[in-house]
Amino acid sequence: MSILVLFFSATTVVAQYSFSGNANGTISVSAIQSISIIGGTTIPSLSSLDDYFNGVVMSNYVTATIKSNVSWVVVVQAQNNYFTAMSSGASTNMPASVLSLKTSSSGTYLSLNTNGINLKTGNKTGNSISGTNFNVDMKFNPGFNFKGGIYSIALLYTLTPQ
Amino acid sequence: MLLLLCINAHSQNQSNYIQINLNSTLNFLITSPNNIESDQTIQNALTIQVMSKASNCSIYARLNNLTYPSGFTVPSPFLKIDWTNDNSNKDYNLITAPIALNSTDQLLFSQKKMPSASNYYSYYYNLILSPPTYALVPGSYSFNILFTMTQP
Repeated sequence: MSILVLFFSATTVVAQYSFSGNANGTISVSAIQSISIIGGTTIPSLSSLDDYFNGVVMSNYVTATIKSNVSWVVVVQAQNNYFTAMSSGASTNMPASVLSLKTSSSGTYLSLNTNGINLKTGNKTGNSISGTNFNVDMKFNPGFNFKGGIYSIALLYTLTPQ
Repeated sequence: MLLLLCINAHSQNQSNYIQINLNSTLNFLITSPNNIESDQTIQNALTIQVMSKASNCSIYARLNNLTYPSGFTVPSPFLKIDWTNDNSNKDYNLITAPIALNSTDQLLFSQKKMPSASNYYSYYYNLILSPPTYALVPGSYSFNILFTMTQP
């Protein structure tokens, strides 16, 4: 007589049941830039013979703050070919080119005109809300060709993608 | 020897499921300094519907896929999901603060086993973009958020 033995083996599978769902979206980013200028309100004055020979330099005349998510260039241009005479007897033919600018950290002075000069270039300012700052030096060198008086001229700073 | 091997194959079914409903298109437009310097929020962006009658469950989310323009370096997590409210009385471990999404599962909440007669519960979320300011280069980005419901 034989005995039949049945072995029941229960295999337990430990599993974690997982269900899922999805959400899709997009982010559209434009080229974004801003520039702010601080300073530029001090009036240069020529008061000595040396000032007329060599011109007057005003270091850190303005501070520019750039914010950009693309490479950038700052162009400065005079709004008029000539300074505006603001006082009686002042010359009306003093050209914008007697005024020149450069970045304080480096470079050579570039005479202003109405077409614009490339003042500075840079890469995207990155993960910083404060942006990138740089200072600008100004040189005013009219020589002896113009009458004494008060003059004004408007400068336009433009920030564009490179 | 008679070997009985019992494996229950579970899948999403009428009693146990997660469903993601988009209440608006999940599109962020960054066109100004204000957009790029501050958080952008899509209010009531999505609803997570959960039915879990077999057992307790936990709901997770992660950033499953992100495509971006060349020149962009992926920073710390900049997409967040933010619970606003729900109609559940079975939730626990609910994270009510904004949750930064990355490539690993982040727990959103857990839900107790539901009575057989009850319906699904809904959880409502905002979607927040915290831009990495001016490191966010111009172009088109796309993302996929994967929500997972697990049951022990």
